Amino acid sequence: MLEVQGLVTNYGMIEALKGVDISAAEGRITCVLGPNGAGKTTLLMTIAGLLRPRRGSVTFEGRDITAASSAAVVHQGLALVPENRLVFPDMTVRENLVAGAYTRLARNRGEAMADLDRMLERFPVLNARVNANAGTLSGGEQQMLAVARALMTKPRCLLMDEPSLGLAPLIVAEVFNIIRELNEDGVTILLVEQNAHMALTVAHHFFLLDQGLVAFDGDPGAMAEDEVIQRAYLGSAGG
Amino acid sequence: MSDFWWDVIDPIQSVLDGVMFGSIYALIGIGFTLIFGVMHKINLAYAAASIGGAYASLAAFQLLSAPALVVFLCAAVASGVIGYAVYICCFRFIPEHLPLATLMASVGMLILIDEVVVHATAGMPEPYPAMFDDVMIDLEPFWVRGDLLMIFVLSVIAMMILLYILYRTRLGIATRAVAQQPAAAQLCGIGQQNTNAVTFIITGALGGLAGAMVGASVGILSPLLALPLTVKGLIVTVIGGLGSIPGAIVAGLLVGGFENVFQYFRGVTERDIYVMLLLFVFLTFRPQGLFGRMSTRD
Repeated sequence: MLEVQGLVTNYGMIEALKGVDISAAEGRITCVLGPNGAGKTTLLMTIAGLLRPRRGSVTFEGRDITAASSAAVVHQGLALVPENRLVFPDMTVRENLVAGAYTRLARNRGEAMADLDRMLERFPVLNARVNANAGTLSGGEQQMLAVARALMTKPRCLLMDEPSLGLAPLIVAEVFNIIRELNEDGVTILLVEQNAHMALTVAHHFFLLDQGLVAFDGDPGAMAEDEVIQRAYLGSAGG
Repeated sequence: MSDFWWDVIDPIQSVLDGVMFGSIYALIGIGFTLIFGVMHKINLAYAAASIGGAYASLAAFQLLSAPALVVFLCAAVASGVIGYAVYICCFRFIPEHLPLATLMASVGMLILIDEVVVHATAGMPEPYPAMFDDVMIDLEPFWVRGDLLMIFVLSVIAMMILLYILYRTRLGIATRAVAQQPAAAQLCGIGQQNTNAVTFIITGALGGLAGAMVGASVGILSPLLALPLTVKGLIVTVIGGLGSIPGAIVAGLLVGGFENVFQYFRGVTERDIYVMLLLFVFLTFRPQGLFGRMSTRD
């Protein structure tokens, strides 16, 4: 569904991606692991159209979106839940969700508003604080809001950048439950994580990114057996 | 009435007049602050563009002898167009990480607009149509000048339209989203450049109205109005807090009342000394302004 080939992207002066090939299969949860500075965020930002690659290509559902603007990427059905959530702090929860439906408001306002109500039903935490400014929400609530806002674009594929970052373990479990539910609803997910243990519970396929290159590509079984990953990500005792 | 009462009537009257005139400063301050909010950049050509728009609207007055209200609307439209031109020339193509380049480009635009106006009018002031300038409303013991009341009412209407756009429309959602979290706004499919351009057009129109009302209240338009208006607008923006619209409104009215009462006591030549002093006090004791935050960028 999503194919990334030979992607080379600079982040500032640094070559953050040095020729990355990954893919996300339709209906699956694909996880990209890697240490800080491996280029995970750069990868997602390039796919989403926020950064321009120097070389390589991004293909989504057979269409080339390498040079597409972020708005065009959203329009194609690909949404990114950014690192650190990046909610609009001085807008209410409802307004944040309306912003998510921005591209659809002009075409079909009624449908977008119906989706908004459905989204609030699905995330009771957000419904409870629908008129509060997003900046006053807790970290977990902001993560839910960031996910809900991305879903308002009606994506067929959701990119998620470290959704567990800075959240309490209980909230992390809740976020991963939502990831699993979304996937069961048919949304393809490309997840970037540092929390390998949690990722192992949901993902169908893994990539390991290290210093801008893919260092591992395999299913969870192969990953749990890989010695390097064992030591670096799952602890010596094993997964 | 006691003697004391007679002593305070005139100062209070001048504060009232000043506050009503200050609504123009509020409009200019909103323009500066809105562009700063969305782009985190200062557009120094803003007040000059406002005066330029007012000059352009003179054509409607001199050629078609249109009524004052129509002339004001023409000024708003013309300044909106100039605002877009300023965006294209000074902001659109200059990389985001070079804020000084955009700042200097907008200074250049300020001088350019000023020079065009000076050359087109040979530097002579031009009469500008006023509205209700012969009306005086008697509210014993005070008077309300008809033209100032009109300025105040028009400004309030313009502000209400702006707030409606910002808080009740799709465009407003886009503007606030870009201002608060540009990357996330793009991820929602909101075009950053389009939003920036529209912000310049809207604030331009607002400034054009302000420029027209300056002309109407003084009765003439002069190229000499551009620089003082720029300075007052920036002072209002700083006192109100960069990026804060309520701040710009309150600070505009405050500066208007403040300068007029000092004009009453110390004369027009000393007036701006005290306005600068007010700015100085704010920069020293409340540098973030009335409604600003210490740090808004993440």
